[in-house]
Amino acid sequence: MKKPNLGQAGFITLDFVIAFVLVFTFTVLLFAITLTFSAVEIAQYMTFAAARSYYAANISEAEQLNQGQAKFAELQNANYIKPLFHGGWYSLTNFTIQNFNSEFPAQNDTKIFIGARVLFSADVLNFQVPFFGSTNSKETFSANISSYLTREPSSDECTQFNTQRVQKIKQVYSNGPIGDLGSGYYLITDNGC
Amino acid sequence: MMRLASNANGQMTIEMVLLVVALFGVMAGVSQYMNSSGYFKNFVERPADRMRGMIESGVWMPSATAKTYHPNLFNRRQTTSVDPSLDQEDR
Repeated sequence: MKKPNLGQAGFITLDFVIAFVLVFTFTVLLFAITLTFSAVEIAQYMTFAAARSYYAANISEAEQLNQGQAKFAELQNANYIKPLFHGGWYSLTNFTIQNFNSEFPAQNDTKIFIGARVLFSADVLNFQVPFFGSTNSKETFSANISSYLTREPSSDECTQFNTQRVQKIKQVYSNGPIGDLGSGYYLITDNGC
Repeated sequence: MMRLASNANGQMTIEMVLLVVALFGVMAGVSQYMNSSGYFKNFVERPADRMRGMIESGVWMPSATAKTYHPNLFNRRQTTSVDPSLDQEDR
């Protein structure tokens, strides 16, 4: 008697291959999106650290800017961060520290949007899905990640302000009842303001 | 009289072939639909602008609109005196 052929294992394999592509794609996509949010948080911290270094008072505004840029470069080149933004999945470009106030609606305080900003791009979200198309859109997902902490006045600015202030006081009192203050008083300032 | 074949081995094979054809058909249809409608492209692209709004300005809105709701634009007030309507325990 001929033995019947009971081998049907290949059929479920075919079914599995088709379903696997879809399931695997969604898994990769969700992984990429959640990892992107984590990378955004890290980039956010980097801009915050740079803005904080820029914020703290120093000799001059140029030195405050140097401190901010140096902090960002230090974090960007740190061993524990560098692979994340240099591996092709994510990138950070156009790092700047300046006043971004003009990009926002008019407000009373014109210096509240001073801080650090970097352009974050997520190339990991662009990939080809077998049989089902591509996630590539017109442009790579990107966002400006910023931290606005403003800036403390520098020592130079404070000294300049106090010098001008003393000059004004001298002018006001020069014709007053106590006479000319020009020669008897000297400007003494501490480390700034 | 002609004897009818009682062997049913081929029937399963034909059914398998039909199922495979149907399965490939469904797959081709789904594949064509997803390609033409840009399903995965929309999956990433559609929420991108709102995500950008949250990342840049902390608000779930399109990025251009979100800028007008940035928390730095809130009017903040402070007082140097205690609200007299509060009880002593609340102060």
